[in-house]
Amino acid sequence: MKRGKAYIISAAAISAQEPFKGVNSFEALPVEGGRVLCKDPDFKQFIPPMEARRMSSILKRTLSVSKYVMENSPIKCPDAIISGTGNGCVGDTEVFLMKMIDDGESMLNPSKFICSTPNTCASQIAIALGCNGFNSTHVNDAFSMEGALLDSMMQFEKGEASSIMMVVADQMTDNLYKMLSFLPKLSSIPLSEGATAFLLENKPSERAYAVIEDMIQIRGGVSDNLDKFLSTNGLTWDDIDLVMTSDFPNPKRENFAFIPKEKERLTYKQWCGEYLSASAFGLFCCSDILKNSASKKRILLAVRSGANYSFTLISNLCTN
Amino acid sequence: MSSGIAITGMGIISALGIGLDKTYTSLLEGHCPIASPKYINTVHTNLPCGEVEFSNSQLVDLIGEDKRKLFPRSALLGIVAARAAEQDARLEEGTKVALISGTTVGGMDITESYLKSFLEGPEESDKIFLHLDGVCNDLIADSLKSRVVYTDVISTACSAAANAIAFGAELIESGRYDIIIAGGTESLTKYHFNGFNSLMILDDSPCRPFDASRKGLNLGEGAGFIVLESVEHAQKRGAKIRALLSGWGNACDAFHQTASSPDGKGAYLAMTKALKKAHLAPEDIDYVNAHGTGTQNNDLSEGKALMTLFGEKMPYVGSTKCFTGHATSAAAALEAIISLLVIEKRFIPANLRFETNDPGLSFSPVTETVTDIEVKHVISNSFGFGGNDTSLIFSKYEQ
Repeated sequence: MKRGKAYIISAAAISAQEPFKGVNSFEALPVEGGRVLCKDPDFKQFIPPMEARRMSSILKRTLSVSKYVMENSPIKCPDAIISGTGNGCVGDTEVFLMKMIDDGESMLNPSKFICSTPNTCASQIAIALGCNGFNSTHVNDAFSMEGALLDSMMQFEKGEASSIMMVVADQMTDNLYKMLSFLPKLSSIPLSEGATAFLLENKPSERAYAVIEDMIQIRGGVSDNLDKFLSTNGLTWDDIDLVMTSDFPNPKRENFAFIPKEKERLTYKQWCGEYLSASAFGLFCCSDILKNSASKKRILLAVRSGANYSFTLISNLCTN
Repeated sequence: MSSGIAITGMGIISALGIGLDKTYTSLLEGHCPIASPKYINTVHTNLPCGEVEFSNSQLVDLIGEDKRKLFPRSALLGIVAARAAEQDARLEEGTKVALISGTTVGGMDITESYLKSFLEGPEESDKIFLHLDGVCNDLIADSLKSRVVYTDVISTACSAAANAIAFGAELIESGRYDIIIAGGTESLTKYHFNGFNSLMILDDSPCRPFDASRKGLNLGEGAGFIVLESVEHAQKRGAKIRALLSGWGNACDAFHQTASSPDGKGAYLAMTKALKKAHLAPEDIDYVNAHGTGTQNNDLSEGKALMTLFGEKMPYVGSTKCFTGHATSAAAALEAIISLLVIEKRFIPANLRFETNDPGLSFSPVTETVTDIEVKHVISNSFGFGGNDTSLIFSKYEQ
């Protein structure tokens, strides 16, 4: 079966950077540890204040970023909504859990419980947009965006959808930050959070400014697989103008030794910090660079977590 | 000629016991294991549930793991079921597979125990990540004899395992992987008990799906995994094809975070999509393994959707949650395997404790076990929070 490609017609991110802005305006975060807060938009633009008051920050962000992305597109309602999150609606989970532990197992209010499942965001977006189509949520650590993207590409492949809202987010709560800061390996990097949305289409068009050509997720054993991935797509390293990696600008660690030395490299985490589903922000950076820079035609997004990797090919060659 | 994805292995653990034989005989005999919680540490001992009859340490023994290693209960249940599935499919050691699991709470049981310590200092910090669904799935992946080259977790609440199975089928269809182990796992936690209790939808007696006087659901737990491959691939390696996954469909009710729409729009759309995928008409369906939780809202909404789809020609309808309890994210995996047993063993389990028709519904569920019946096609419904509605169709394999 012919591999489905995903054409990006609208995308935006809420992150440690100014909301909805692009790479040109991004500033590098401090490289040491600590917590970097998300810079939120004015939620009133997207959600009635009475409703927003009851919502967790991950829900407000995913609703806002997806509405922003929809507003900047000619599409009224996507055919499917597919989300990714490493840790789900951890804020509401935590509130319910703490109350249960502190106050005992009685008189608990269900409102936090019902919004605590990881698919809350995708469901609430469906309700807000009136979308009865396919709806799914992938929760796979550092590869949650990749699960959502693979799902999107397969929906396109079999002709089940022609437009998909892909939304990926994670939330950092005070308590989660406190817990994670005890871990030595996380104490030296900025911990953050974010919500990123993409409106994808199944075919080339004037309005598409970048195309996700293919994606591979690898559990161990990277180099053979990566070469095969490039060659399957009829490409060599010469066709890659930039590699966007998931590491931090830290010269002591070389996580991507298999990337040719001469290749131009950028790291997206210098802008968004560390959170489980940050690779979605990396994908946004790639799409934004392709939208605004004529000198870059194809970018390889390279993500590593432990012994596992993902590679995503994204280009501005949308018209073929 | 049958079309669909071949199912060549299955593994299950639930309140009904471990394994296909135990599950089958309990269902056939109408043996209901719903009882007061034994292992889970909750004050709600008045709320019966479908608990797996093994403690965590017994499960660790069963899988031959190191007693000093800490496992979330959902991972232990998942390991039992996924290993049984790969064994049932006779996968050779080192076979490349992808593992797709549906789960929601991951290691919530660990988090419940250690949350205060996590916040106080670094002593127990190494256990934090056991909370994550992806980490639990990796524990299952690492325990298999097969070589797991790809993992993913789908978390759409109570339809999670159905979506995991459908995603697995699509990976096969797309040609990306040859063999998929897909299903779901979920363990009972205090979080479940108190969450569902706060919604006031737990029955303090064994549940009565579709009965007019139904008062709510009983929670359950367990894990189920099935092995999926293309028919050609299964034939080539000489695997026994137990049945086919012939259709699947997902739709969003887009009505309310927890309540189903009065007309069951999402449920109807999901079943319609699955039938279309399977190239089947409603009258081809012999049995509906309903979501049938036993709540007023679900059973009425699902019933309305069934009435819209089937009209006067209602097939056998029943919920097996009256045996297993509602195993939330794993429910669809348990019910997929029950549906496969129905086809293979030529029987239909009774929808226990049904007495009075719901005035809003024109049909009653199957009240007595039916035996010696040919079942060619089964729809299994699973609906989750957020109106996430998924239907799977399992079909008899005819060469």
